[in-house]
Amino acid sequence: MKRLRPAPLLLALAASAALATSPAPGPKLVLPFIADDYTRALAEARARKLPLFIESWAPW
Amino acid sequence: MRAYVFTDRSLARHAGRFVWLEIDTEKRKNAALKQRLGIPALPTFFILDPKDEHVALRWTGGATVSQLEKILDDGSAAVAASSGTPDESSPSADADRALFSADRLYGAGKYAEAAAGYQEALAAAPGEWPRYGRVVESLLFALGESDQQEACVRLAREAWPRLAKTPSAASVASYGLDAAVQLPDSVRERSAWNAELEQHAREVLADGSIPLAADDRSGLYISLLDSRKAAKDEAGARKVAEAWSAFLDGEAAKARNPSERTVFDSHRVSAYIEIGAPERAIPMLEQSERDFPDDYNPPARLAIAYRAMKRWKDGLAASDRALARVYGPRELGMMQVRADLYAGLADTAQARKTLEDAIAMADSMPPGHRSESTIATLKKKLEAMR
Repeated sequence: MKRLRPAPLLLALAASAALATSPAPGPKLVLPFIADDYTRALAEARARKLPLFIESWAPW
Repeated sequence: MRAYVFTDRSLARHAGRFVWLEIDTEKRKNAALKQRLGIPALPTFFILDPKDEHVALRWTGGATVSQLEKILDDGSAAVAASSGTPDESSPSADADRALFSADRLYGAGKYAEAAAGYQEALAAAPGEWPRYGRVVESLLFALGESDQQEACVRLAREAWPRLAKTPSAASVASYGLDAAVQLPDSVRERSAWNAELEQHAREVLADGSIPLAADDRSGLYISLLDSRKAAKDEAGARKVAEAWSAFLDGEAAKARNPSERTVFDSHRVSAYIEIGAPERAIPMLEQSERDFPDDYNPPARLAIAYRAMKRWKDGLAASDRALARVYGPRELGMMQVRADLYAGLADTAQARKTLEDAIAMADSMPPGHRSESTIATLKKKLEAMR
């Protein structure tokens, strides 16, 4: 856990709060993530009676 | 996380325990959900109870695989507890009950109340409570967010002996140091605490055996850098920046593929600028742009590096490429850089127009993407150009 407090301007402009994530194709994620569809994920969680895990991220 | 943690095969055994959703917070379609979840920083993970959609557990920041597994276990237990099935026979039942309640408040962004709940959980916890590290990290964050900096420092110092060799060590040292830097001069112990917490940070960085995420280590360098700058210790700050830069170069050199290597690009640009060597970022970013031609980040970072080098025209060319690929609120940051590049060329008219366009764009963003502080920053910058 970390990188939450306001960064100095220089860092804020150049770096993201956490080390960045590339949106480009890379190694495959091992968990079956549903992309950007909360309604579908919630419906599936209710149907399967499972908690819903959400990863919020940004490409920068 | 996506390059190093969510690709780890050992996580596959958790696939059936949750429904997994990823949201790109920069996409307009996710703006409303972003606002509803109240995401304080990225990445942030949420575990929701699908029955009523309440956030049972939230974790902000990176995590190692083992930390993530603890988060999954705790989130699962918190959802089960909200269904009325807690394990009352457990020796930590009281602490767990207080914790799940605090996690729920934390998930709702009620930081002062959550902090009180976490403190109650810690007070009720048995000696070897396995959730101690996770709870201390959440409490440190909640204290910081509710402007209880002195309490944050005290907790970081108190928890240090127990967490110094654990994956929580970097966060504890870093949160504590960040809070110490923000303490007013009227706090008598400020300097002593600052020195002590800097020492903790240096111990973590010197101990390669502590299992830490690379961004936690990088974040610790940033905390140290901020601390030395706050102390107006220019030589000390430069020394930290040089060590930070070397650390990031070493991590990037170990990357097994371009995706892993580019993870470090953003902090490397910052570190190179800090040590007065922005030109070192150019070959790295050019390589990243070749590896990922659809990604706006490499040219956006090139524009920042060129700005630091005063190569205004090269910066604008990189900015053109970045703006052609960008989406979401990130475009506003790029436009600020672009305005600086025009200003460097003494083209005040274009610099002003760029900022005016950025303000109009910021103003039209939907809730969840609209940021009043960003609008204020842009307006201040424009005003300074009059």
